[in-house]
Amino acid sequence: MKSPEITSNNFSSDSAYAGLSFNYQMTSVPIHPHRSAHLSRTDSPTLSVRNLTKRFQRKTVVNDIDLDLFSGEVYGLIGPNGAGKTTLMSMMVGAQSPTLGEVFIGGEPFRQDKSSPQLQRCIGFLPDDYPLYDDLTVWQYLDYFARLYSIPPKLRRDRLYEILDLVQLSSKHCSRTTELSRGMKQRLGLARAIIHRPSVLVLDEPVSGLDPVARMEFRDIIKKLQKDGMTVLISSHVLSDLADFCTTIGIMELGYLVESAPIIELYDRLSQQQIFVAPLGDRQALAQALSEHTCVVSQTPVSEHEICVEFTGDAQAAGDLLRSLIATGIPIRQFNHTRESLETIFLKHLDHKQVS
Amino acid sequence: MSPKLLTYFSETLFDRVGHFNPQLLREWQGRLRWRNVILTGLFSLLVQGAVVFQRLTQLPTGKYSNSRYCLRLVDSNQYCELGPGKMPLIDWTFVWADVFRDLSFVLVWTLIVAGVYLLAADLSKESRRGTINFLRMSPLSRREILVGKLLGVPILLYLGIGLLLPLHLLTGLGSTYPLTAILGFYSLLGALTFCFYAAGLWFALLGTGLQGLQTWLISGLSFGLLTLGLNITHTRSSADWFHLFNPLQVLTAWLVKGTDGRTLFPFDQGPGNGLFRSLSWLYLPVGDRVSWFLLFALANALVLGLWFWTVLERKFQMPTNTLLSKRQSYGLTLYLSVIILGFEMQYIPEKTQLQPTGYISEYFWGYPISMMIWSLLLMFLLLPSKQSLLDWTRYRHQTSRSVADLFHHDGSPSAFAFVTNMAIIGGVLLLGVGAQGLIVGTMHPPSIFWTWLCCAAALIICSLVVQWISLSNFLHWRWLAIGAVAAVIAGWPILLAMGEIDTYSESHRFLWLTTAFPQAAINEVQILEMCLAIAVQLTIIAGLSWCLNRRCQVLGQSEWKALLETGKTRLQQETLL
Repeated sequence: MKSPEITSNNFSSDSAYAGLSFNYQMTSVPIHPHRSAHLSRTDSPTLSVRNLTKRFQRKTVVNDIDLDLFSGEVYGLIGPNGAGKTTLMSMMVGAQSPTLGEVFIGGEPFRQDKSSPQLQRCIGFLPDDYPLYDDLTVWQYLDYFARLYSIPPKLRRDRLYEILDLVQLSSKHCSRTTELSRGMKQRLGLARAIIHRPSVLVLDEPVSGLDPVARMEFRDIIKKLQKDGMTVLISSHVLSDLADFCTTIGIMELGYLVESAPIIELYDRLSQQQIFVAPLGDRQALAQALSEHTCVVSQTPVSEHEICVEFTGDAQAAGDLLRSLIATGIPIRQFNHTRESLETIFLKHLDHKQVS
Repeated sequence: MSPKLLTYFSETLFDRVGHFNPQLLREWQGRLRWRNVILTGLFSLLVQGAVVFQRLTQLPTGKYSNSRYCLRLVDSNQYCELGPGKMPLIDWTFVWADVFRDLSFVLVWTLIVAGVYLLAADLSKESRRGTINFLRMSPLSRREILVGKLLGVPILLYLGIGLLLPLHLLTGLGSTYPLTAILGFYSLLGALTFCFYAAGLWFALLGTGLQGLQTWLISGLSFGLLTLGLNITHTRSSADWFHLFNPLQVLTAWLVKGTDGRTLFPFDQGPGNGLFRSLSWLYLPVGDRVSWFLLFALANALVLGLWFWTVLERKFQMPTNTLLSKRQSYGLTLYLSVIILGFEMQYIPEKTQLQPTGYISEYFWGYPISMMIWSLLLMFLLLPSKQSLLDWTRYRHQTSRSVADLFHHDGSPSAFAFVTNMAIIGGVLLLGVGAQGLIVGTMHPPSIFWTWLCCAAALIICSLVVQWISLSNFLHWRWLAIGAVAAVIAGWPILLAMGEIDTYSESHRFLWLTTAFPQAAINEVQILEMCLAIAVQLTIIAGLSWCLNRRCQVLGQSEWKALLETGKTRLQQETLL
């Protein structure tokens, strides 16, 4: 797998043009260096599905899906409402039985009615609409699930403290679940889903309805779990969040998995790069200099003092372009290298499919 | 004991319970709060106090008082005999017998009806809320979860009943009931409680479509069955089966002897001593001794309880399944056929030799009626969901093509399983008729068998119609199906009656054999008419089966194939044009 070469850079330097600040800003989707470090496609997948199909009446809502999830992978599942994401996830965790196809955990076939408890312990699931027992306290609630998953008594107490600490609910352990805010309830749900240290965590729109702070907290927890090597399958409509921590993205539409690729590959393949260059002086000279560069596809004036350049190439190539522009002596006020966001890729993909 | 120590003990107890069964701990944690425990205890004591107080108010108080509790009556049995201090002499055995009786009623009705309500309400609440899915997905076995529910949800009820038991036992012993009888009553109560609870939990999984109505429905049914079990008269027919569903029946045979030699049947609402004693099953005198009756009732409760438990476990794990699997239906039909037929085969103990009773059961008429009611239920219990049937028709070539699928696969049409069940009922009847011939020496005319054949054919027609309607696109197909069944079962005979086609009219009386009540005409018709009626019914069955098969084929067809075929036809038409 291609390791991420794009890094966030943000520096300013004094140049020959005294008094002018010079920014080289990579505003592409931030990708953390560790995001693909865990992945090793040579390993056998932690969870795989083969020919998974689900029909409701005569409508096929999930259609013949094959998917492999590897250890440490964070797989973001995106798609419009009704695409079949929730149904797919429900079948993967055994909440619904598929019409056809099979789910494998560590190579073993997994079915809710026939699987061994060992396989059921490998799965953690947080559904979209997450109900709680309102007559229990946070501690009692987690303790109950810890017992359900047969966590040994000696480890249970420590695990409960650890998990409460992770989801930042230690101060609320004596509170009834009804007294928690929505964000807290969602974190409690996550705590329940991971209390038995599953190898695969399935989260169905976990951040829907959460405020930005709660979302950020939730994101941080997922990142921690990812660092621990947990495989995470997450669906969300907040694509900026997914772009932040997912290693792989799958796009679902009308029951089909129409796209599934590592996020880096997806960006390379589908995301257009743009460089916004703002010269201080002659725009024509700048346009001339840009057109001589092989990575520049086209250039469009955005305003009187700014040109938008469509660009192919990696960060190195962008750096080369900047260097060559400086070498021509054109005073540059701004050089801003951006990529299309995941949201734009998704919307373009959707448009393209609809046109098709 | 200090509150801290008490809390420590309760926490340790909870922890141990949690090791044994986490689900039980969860139920206890939600319910066993100090306030609830104290209120339950107080309520239990209040009920006991009220029962005793109500009986004490009936004690004779003065010289001119009269009461059933008087030890002896004087002045032409008008007044109580007075003792020292001019106080009436009281026969306390009778007082305790009545208190025991009242407490037994409270015990049975509260434990079963309230327990069923609590369990059904809890499980349907979990279903509606969606928390049941977490239980299903947890590695804890379904048996552990359900045992946890069974022991945990009615814990406050158990507590209240537990507080009532010492007084119940003491009053029972005080009123000369033998300990074995009381223990027998407790054991039957336990077995029936298990049976009713398992049924209640199963019923709660019917689905959320009834909006929680099933909770009230199953509690009402439990109440009705208990009441019927105690109050129904001894008919020497299949209705006697209901006697086995009330544990108080064990106590009804006992006569309480007063101090002065007078006797009293405390459970005078029940069938009493004489009729109950003559209860027999398959000509076996099961009512002759209380111990035999107890064992018989226990076996019945345990068989049904375990069966309910099995179907409950299956439905709990896979909610999309039918309420009853095809295989389970065969076992249950066999059991019900044997037990019902057994109650149709009774004898009069006063007569020395075995012989038919002379009651309606002589010709087993109760059997087809009971079995028809069961078959009507079975028709809906076995019906696969439309989705399962669609999946089965669409993908069965990829999973299994075995013919055996038709008899046991959950998604396959229910018609084959239904016919198998009808065959089981018919087979048991045939054996019963044969056995009666061997035991009693008189073989009844085979009209009862023909009756069942005609009735079964009408029921199979109903089953095919219901299956066909279930595959339609009607939104409220269930109501339509119920309407269609009602039309076949009740509408058709009413139509015949309105058309003045009576059972004596020679030309059309065979039409009565095509109804679900062929017994109306069975003794009047000739063999040719009988064959004609069966031929008519078989033709209808064949026609409906063809329609159903065609519908399944259409639904199972691949959309791609249909699309391509449509395209091909259009192309051919365009070419021709």
